[in-house]
Amino acid sequence: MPGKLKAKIVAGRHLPVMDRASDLTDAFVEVKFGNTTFKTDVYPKSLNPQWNSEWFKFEVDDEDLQDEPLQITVLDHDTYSANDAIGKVYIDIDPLLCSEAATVISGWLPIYDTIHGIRGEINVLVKVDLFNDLNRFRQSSCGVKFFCTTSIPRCYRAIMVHGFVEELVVNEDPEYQWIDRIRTPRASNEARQRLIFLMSGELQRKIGLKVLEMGGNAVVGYLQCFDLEGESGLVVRAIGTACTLEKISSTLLATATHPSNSSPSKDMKDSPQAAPSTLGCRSTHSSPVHSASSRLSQGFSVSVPTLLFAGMGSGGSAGKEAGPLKALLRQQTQSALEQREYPFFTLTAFPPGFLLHVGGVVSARSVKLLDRIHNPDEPETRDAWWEEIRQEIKSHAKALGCHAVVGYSESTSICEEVCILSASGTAAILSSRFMQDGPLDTEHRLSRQPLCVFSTGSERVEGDMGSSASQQGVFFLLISAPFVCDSLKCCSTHPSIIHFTPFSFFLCYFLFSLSLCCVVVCMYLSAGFVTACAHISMCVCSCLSVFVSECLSIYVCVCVCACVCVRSCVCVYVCPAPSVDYSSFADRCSSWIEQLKLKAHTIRRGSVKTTSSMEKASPLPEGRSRSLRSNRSYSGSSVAVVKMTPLSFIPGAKIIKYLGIINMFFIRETTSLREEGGVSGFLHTFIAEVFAMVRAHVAALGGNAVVSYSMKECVFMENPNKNQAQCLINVSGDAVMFVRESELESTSVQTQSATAHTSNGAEGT
Amino acid sequence: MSTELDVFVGNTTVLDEDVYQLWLDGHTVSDAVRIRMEAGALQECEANAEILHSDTMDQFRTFQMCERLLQSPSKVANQLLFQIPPHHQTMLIERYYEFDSVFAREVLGKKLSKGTKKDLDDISSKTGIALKCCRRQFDNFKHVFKVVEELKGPLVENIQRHFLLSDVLARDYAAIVFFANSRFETGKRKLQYLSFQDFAFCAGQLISYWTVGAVDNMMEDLNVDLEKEFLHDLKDLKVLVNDKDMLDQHKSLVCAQLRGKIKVFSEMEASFKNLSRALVNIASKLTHTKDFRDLFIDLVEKFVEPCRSDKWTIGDLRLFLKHYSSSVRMLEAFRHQVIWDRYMGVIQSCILKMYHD
Repeated sequence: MPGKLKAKIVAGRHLPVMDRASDLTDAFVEVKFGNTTFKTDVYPKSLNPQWNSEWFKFEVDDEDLQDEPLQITVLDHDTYSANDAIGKVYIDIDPLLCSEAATVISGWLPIYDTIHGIRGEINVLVKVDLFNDLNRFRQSSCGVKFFCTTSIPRCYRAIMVHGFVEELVVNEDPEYQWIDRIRTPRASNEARQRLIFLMSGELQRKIGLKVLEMGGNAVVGYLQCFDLEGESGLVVRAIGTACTLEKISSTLLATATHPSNSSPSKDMKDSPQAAPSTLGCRSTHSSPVHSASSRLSQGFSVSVPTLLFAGMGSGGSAGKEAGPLKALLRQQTQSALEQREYPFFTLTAFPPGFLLHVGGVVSARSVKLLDRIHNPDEPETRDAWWEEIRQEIKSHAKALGCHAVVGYSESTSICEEVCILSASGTAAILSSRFMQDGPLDTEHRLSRQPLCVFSTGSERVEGDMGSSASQQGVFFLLISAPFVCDSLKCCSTHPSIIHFTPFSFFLCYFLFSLSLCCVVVCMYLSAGFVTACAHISMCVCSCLSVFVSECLSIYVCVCVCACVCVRSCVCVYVCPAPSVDYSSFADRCSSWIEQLKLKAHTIRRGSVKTTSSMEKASPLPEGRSRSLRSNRSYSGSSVAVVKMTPLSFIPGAKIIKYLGIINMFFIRETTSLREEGGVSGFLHTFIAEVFAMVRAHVAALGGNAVVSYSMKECVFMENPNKNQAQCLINVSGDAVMFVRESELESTSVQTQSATAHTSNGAEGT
Repeated sequence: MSTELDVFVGNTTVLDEDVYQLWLDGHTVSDAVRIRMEAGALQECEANAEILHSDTMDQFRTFQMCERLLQSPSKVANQLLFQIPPHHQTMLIERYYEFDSVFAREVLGKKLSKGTKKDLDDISSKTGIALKCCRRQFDNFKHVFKVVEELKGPLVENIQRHFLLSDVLARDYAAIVFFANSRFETGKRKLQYLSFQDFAFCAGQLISYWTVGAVDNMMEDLNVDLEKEFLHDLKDLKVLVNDKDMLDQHKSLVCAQLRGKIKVFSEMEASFKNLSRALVNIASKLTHTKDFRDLFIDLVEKFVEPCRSDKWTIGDLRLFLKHYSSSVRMLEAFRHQVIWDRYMGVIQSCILKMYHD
């Protein structure tokens, strides 16, 4: 019994009316953890109940603490019939298990119902008392820190980078169980949500155990994915890089994160998955699944169940080597690095001197048929699939003369019975210095590193660009999951696989340049790094370079509102068009960019206007003051402002504490699609709700921002004839607490002049 | 053909004040896009029409989602769904509750009921305000009325506290609530020349000096009902016109004061008794609901119009009313000085406000 979880239900507000007769609600709360359930008293006839409950105590194993979420259900008491559920809140206890993260979860959290969305809010307090357990054979891994950020987090120092960790858990999908025929959609959604929470908890615990085995204490670049395979099960898998991190003491921190260090350029090599979300794209979706799948499966049904493709970047040479046989071959080499099973790193930013040479992008893909899995409930089959792919990546890297892969990521795309697994990364040669025990310098300077190489299947574009821009920066660009998946979906409309390959390469290339471009934008947004532009625009195709120069003109002059713009990028949610030929796809992408610009403009316009009208109230440009002061200068507002960014940093601010990983999964279903404004209206509401929940959870942990935020749409199904739609979204990121640099410098910046601020932002310190 | 999905959601809710206004005015998305294009949004943002359309769609959807919150503005500040900067919150609320005075003028004094709501399309075609917009304004009136109806304390403050509105707007709403509650006749042809602002001013005067709340803040009920006792006491003023001596004395006092000071002296002298009788009669009949509702029409018919036909200037009228009401003090036999002052103070300012073309 090594842990005690305590929860207290304080109050509720804005509850929905559950009793039509009185226009009120008799609410009570069930608090469930594992198999133990507590209930509060019924608070009669109120939409703002004050339960002020006692502390509910759960005495549990720390293994359960890691696996299980705390489940809070708000119900309406009904004397005669069954109690009606108002909604639920799932709270991930994990951040409380690590001494360096949050210590308490306290605040207003939205009550969520999978059919009705957010229905009021509940104020809770959650604490954990952990007893030290020195059992060597324990199954828990409390205390291992998880970061989505793909670089060494700001307040930490890497003592050792241990290497690649991966894990995969499989379960039956409740949606496909026989019981689903008789239970309500709500019950089925909730079963699914709960299961996924459990599975990701378990996954995290198992990864944690592996890390402890390796001697590390943290996972950086943690990337978790869900594969909803349908009939054959539900897979949750994760990859990450095990590290030993040491917290930089506060005095050290002050110097280490000195303005010069938090240069935005450094972070341009941010997590690859951040790149597409940075696009600020419009999501234009036309459910390709229906049209594509039938033909696709026909195409596959005559072919061999296991097809393996040499990925782009590996070029012809690596392609020849590819094959299941080869993949299983263990290669023994002298290098310490290669003794590892997989010399992969999910990190995208490294300390200086660590990265010696960059070979090129390696990627591998494999198409599997899900109905050929012999024992779907066991993870072995999937493990074997991924092993094949990883071996292939490894051999590709070798073919490029490299012994490691950095910026590694994996993704899948599922279309009915066909599952496409893909993995990609940048082959590199690393210095063996990290193998030693000496502490690594966390101050890494971008300008010293060679530029990335990116190559595109048949036409290799490699190397040269590197030299031209080598002074400027490194971009480990990888096509991230949603893009590849969806572009593959698009391609899969082709009946034959032969078309499929080159076409997707082409698309990938385009996407490549696009994401590069986005990084550029980001760069401008975050500080206006003018010089880099010229070099980079050479790399991107012409239409995009036009865009870049446009960006230049726009953004350099408005770098004041940079942080606003970056935030506006966060909000995006991407799923490309389905029936694309290249040109229309290009149009689409550029229209996304246009859209982003328009938004940025709107924000700017709005901010300019308000500044003039609010001159007295706030001397700062509105774009900034809005985000940075609202918490303080408007004491009337009771909701703390939480920022979100796909970047690993917050421009102009210093992250002072990492509070834990945010990893949430939401299902939303509607049976009144038309009434909610069609698919757009439905998703608009859902995404707004997801944001609200993420913000609330971060605020409850005591944070004021989410970095490395990413949002993945797992499934979107619609049936306009039945007026129904269902959507599953997974969000992840690191909850952090940040302080504005300006606030650090002087506490009385309230009256700081606007010009001072502008220059502050522009010089990109 | 599958349906297209196209959304843009911000962590901090993206709002454009101009688009908000278009939404409030009841434009459809395509109308709004056209208007924005005409306003040069495309040049400003270097965007194409398609993007402008989706941007407008996004914002309209956001506003629609916010609408539920805006109906109880106190929730806007502590809701979690939208992260809206506080100054934008204020703007959203204020704009949402703003109304067209042309529209308010039409509804003024009418019962805020379903029946009136059905007439909105007439009002809409008459005023040229989109029906959707009329509905919103009407629902706001009704909503504010319902909420403050059950509250104690001063009306304006109640409105401000519950709807977080600016002082000016809260006062206008108080006027609307007051008129809807008292059901004054405002629709007659002769009253058409009066604007909403004229009435709102009069309502403000009435609320401040004649209502229950004006005397006692702690009353249980909605304090926009006029004080019964006061209305009853007004009957005593009749002595001013019924007592022949007093009427003559009053007249000579006023004439003495005004001689040579106003251009329409002879006309004033001739019509003094009629005017005085009109004002006192209005006062004495206010206890009857019917007459009370006709307060404004009576004032216009019996006082404003005769003066206007004699071509009084506003300055003449002001002087006359001043001396008319103050010289009563010199009538030794008159004992209802307090009631008189309370009555005339309001009537005087109302008449002056209403005396225009």
